[in-house]
Amino acid sequence: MSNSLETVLIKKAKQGNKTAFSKLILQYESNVYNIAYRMFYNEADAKDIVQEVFLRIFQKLHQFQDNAAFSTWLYRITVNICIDEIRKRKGKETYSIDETYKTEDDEMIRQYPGDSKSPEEIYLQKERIEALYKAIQALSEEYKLAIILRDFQNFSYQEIADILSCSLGTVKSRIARGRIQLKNILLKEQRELFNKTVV
Amino acid sequence: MTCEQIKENISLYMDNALDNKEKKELEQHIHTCNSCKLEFTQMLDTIDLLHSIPPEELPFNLHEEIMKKVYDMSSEHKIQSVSKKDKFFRLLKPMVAVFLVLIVVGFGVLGIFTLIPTKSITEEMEKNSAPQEMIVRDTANENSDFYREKMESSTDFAEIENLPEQKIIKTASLFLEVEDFDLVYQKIKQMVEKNKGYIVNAESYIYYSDDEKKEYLKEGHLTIRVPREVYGTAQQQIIELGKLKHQSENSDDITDQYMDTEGKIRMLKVQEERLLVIMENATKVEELIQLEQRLNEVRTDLEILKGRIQNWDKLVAFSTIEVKIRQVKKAMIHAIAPNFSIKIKEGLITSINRAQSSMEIFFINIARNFIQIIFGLVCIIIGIWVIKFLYKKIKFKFNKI
Repeated sequence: MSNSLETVLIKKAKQGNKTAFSKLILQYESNVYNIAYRMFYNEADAKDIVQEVFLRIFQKLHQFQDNAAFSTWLYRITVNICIDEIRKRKGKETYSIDETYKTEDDEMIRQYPGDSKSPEEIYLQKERIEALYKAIQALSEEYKLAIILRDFQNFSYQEIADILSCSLGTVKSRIARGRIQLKNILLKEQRELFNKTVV
Repeated sequence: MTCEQIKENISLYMDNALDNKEKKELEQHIHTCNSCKLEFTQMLDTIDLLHSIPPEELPFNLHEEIMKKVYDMSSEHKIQSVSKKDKFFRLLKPMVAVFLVLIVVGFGVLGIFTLIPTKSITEEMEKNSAPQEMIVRDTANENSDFYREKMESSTDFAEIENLPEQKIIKTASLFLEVEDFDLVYQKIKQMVEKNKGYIVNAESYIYYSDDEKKEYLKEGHLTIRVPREVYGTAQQQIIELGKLKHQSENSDDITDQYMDTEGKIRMLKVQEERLLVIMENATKVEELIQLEQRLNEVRTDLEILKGRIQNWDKLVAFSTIEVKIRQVKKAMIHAIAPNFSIKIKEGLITSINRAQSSMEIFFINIARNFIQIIFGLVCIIIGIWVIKFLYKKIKFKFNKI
């Protein structure tokens, strides 16, 4: 959708035109759904999140300022609703599994040094997806979000920084550390996945 | 740079997010350090794995669900700004429902009680050794009378519901898959015109395109309003145009709110007249200004309520049908033999019906012969008991011998 068309739609939607709103959100639904699905790995939750996101967008559209990018604003709301939902479920505790994996990781590398081969040859697509999703669910929420936005939704570092409202440096370190953590979880939980890699 | 830092930079390297100096340093380091080289290949695999996962498909009808909530929400807003009386009516609805349930349950219980005496009559008659067949027929007759009464009362209900004063807003949504999008789109528009309805909103767009094969598939949403008299037939006509994938209907009874609003209008009109009379007799300027203000308020309220009534009249007179049509390739529609699933369904239904009716007959027979069955069971139990007893005795005797 061209930018000018989008601004027109936003303007109309702000005035309460629901058809314009319907057109406006159509192209974002898939992305929002995928972010939510990957955060919760569950269709029902993802659907609830998507509905909540767009309802909130509709309610708060008048607060949206035209000088900002609509997509960034929309994704920021998505991310916030996801985080709210996770906090609601967990209570208020947040924990990091960073350190435990760091030590185990070192051991493992010493145990299984070796050559590399692509995991595609070992695992069927479905099982790989399953394993990967499970590993992602084990990440702490900020790493999870960074990886989902970067590796699944293909946002640039700058876009992610805008969506999460944090600095570029923070995004870089979150993505780097998140990926390392993810790799270590995959190594630990699903050794077979990397079996050939780490013989 | 330490190995730890290098390991963090590997991931940035893959995204091309390092500056030239860091890049070179990393490349050199990996050639010399085995641990970091392993880390590098593993990271490459991990990112490959991440990128290999396809996006999830959007669940069916999610867009419609979202938009429905958006529409619901904005209409809720309107209701919230209305008076407290509406709240009272909202509370009233569940109360009425509970009351109705109680009545139905009450009738049910009464029905059972009316059945019980007839049973006791049959027992008495049995004692008087009257022919059994006749009595059974009697109770059956009474049963059918009872049912007939029930049926009649329910038809009464239906008549009440169809009374013209009932204000019901009807909406339906249909989702069709079609082969020839433009034709169906056109046909729906024609149908609407023919039925003296109108199109509130129509949009269509290409949702799938294959430039190589020059294939374009379209999707469209239509919101149409048709006179409520043709609501059913219009729906049927649309359904016949393609393959129905989803259908839902909703009717909203606003009779209570409608009557309430009408009452308020009447009250306000009386107030308006009275104010006008007072104004004629008023002499002081202050009084006049105050009265003028009050009159203004009353008139604004009147206009708002009148507008609401008009809007409701429109909504009631014209039913809304939301139609979503999606074009699919020909092969997709015929992929499943159309009759197969229907036949299976029919087969299942007949078998269930048959099972149900045979069960009914079975239970009716049990009920009819209840006393006999109990008597028979008692006889059998006594018989078994006697046989066991005798068997033991005989065994005992044999053992003695």
